[in-house]
Amino acid sequence: MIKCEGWFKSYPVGQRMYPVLKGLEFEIDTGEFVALMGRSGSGKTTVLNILGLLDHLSAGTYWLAGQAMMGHSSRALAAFRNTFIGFVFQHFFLLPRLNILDNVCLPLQYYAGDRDQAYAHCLQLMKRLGIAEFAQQMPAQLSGGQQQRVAICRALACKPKVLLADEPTGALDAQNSEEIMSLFKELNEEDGLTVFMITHDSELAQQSQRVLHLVEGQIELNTQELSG
Amino acid sequence: MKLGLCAQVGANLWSTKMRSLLALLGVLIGTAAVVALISSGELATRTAIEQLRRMGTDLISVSVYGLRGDHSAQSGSVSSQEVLGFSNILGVKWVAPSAQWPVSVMASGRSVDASVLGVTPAWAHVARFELEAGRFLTGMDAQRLHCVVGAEVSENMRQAGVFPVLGAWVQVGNQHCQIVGVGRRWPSNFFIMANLNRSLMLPLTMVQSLSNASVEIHDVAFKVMAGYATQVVQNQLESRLKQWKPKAQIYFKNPEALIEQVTQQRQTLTILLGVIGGISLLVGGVGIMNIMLVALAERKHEIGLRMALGATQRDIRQLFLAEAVVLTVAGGVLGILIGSLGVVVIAWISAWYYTFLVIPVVIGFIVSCLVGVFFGFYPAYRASLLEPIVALRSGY
Repeated sequence: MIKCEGWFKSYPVGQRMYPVLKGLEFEIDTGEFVALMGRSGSGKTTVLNILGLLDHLSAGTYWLAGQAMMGHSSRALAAFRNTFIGFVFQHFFLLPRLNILDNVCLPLQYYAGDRDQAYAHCLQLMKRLGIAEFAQQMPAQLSGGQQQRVAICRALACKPKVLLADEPTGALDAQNSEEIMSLFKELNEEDGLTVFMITHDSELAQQSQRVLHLVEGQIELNTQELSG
Repeated sequence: MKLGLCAQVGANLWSTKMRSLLALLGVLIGTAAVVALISSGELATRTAIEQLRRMGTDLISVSVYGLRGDHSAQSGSVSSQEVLGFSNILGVKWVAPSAQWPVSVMASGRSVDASVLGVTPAWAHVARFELEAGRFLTGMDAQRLHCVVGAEVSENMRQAGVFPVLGAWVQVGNQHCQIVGVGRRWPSNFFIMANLNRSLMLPLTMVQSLSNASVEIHDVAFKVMAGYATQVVQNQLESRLKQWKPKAQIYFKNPEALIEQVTQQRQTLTILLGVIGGISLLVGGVGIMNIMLVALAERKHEIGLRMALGATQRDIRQLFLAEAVVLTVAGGVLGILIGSLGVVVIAWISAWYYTFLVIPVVIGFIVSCLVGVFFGFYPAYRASLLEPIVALRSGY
């Protein structure tokens, strides 16, 4: 599903370029649940942003579902983000002036496929994730755990192939974190959704099928390689 | 479910009600100014033209004065013989010369505020002077001490204890004249030099006789026959006068020429007022741009989120542009309503002839829409150029 070859990424700091990724390479198969760990500033979020087509590589090759992701127009990248990728953020990022239903359905505004079908899918998802009863409520009326469920529901609205989660439990208590992780596992195991998650919590990371450790801009430890 | 652009725009604007209202207010005032100023200018012009028409489009008046320093006899006035000569010009129906005689008027031993005017019987027809009682001067009165008083003079005399006014005697200079007619209130006329409401009218021949011919005729009014062009008749009069009095200063007035002039000035006035209104609308447009730029700064994160969820640059541009256009169109529509209402009030206060004018409304609406697109485009364009990752990081 995902193949990263020789990823380099640098950011300008003053007059100089600060390298974040230094020849990063890894692959994620379809239906895998992979966790990425690393120290603050190690480049985890940069990896997720590039995987999510929000940021560009300085050098390297990125393959998503068999297609090279370089050289596409911003319009094409937006279409990929809409249909291939679902984002879950640490701070949920729900629009405060829209109710829960409208927040969930927000990606459908940019969906090129059958919107009615996608809308029906959203309603089903809301029931499945236990947030259907909050459909007409505003985000501020919901707890953190509930808001993150809404965010997950929104991420899945256009039936993506990959779910990218940036510390999805970072703003939640232990119980809610556990529930969100259970939900990820359920989506991965039952729906075959490929999940790529950034986390600081090694216990949560252990619940994934594979853990990647990012050190100095490279994958230093791959639990799959160790167990294999 | 707010999937449509309109619903999204509505929700976004509603969430910042006060700010939206203030932005809208700028366009509202601008559009109202455009509609009110253009409409008012047009109505004022129409009213002026209508008033000129009411004075009579078959009227010509001429004033003759001598050049400064030229003391040759009769060079700066019109003689009785010349007045008769005007009657022979083709198209002239009535000739009405008049002359002011600066003498005091007394009634019942009290001074009466009145100007003494020497006129001919044709004067009543030319000046559209109507009587409340009695009759106007006729040819029979030419050598008689008969006079006609205007409405204000009659009122003054009543207040001075003279009643009834008709038939009463008044002292004009050293002579006593009998009032044979009392005039109705006379609507002022731009083409008649005197205020007939405040005049005491004597036969012109009598005035010249009593003043030992010291009173000169400087003003002559003409009524043109039906079917003759006023300008053509005026040209003939002018040529005749220049022939008689080559050194005199001659000033003509005719309603048709004036209407033509006012009509030509209408366009300039409309453009001028439109530009003034347009400047207000421009200020409103700058307000819209300011508000949209503030919204852009505040909603960068939302833009990033929308991009992450699949919004293209075009989607973002459309969203912001639509918000600006909705604000200006709403301001425009309200401005049109308030501006139109303002015009009704202005027309009522100014006693103008009111007609609902469609063109200022259409101009106001189109310009407000264009202002929305013009001033909304730049913030929308800037919003669409944001990098998804830069936008998403903003505010967090």
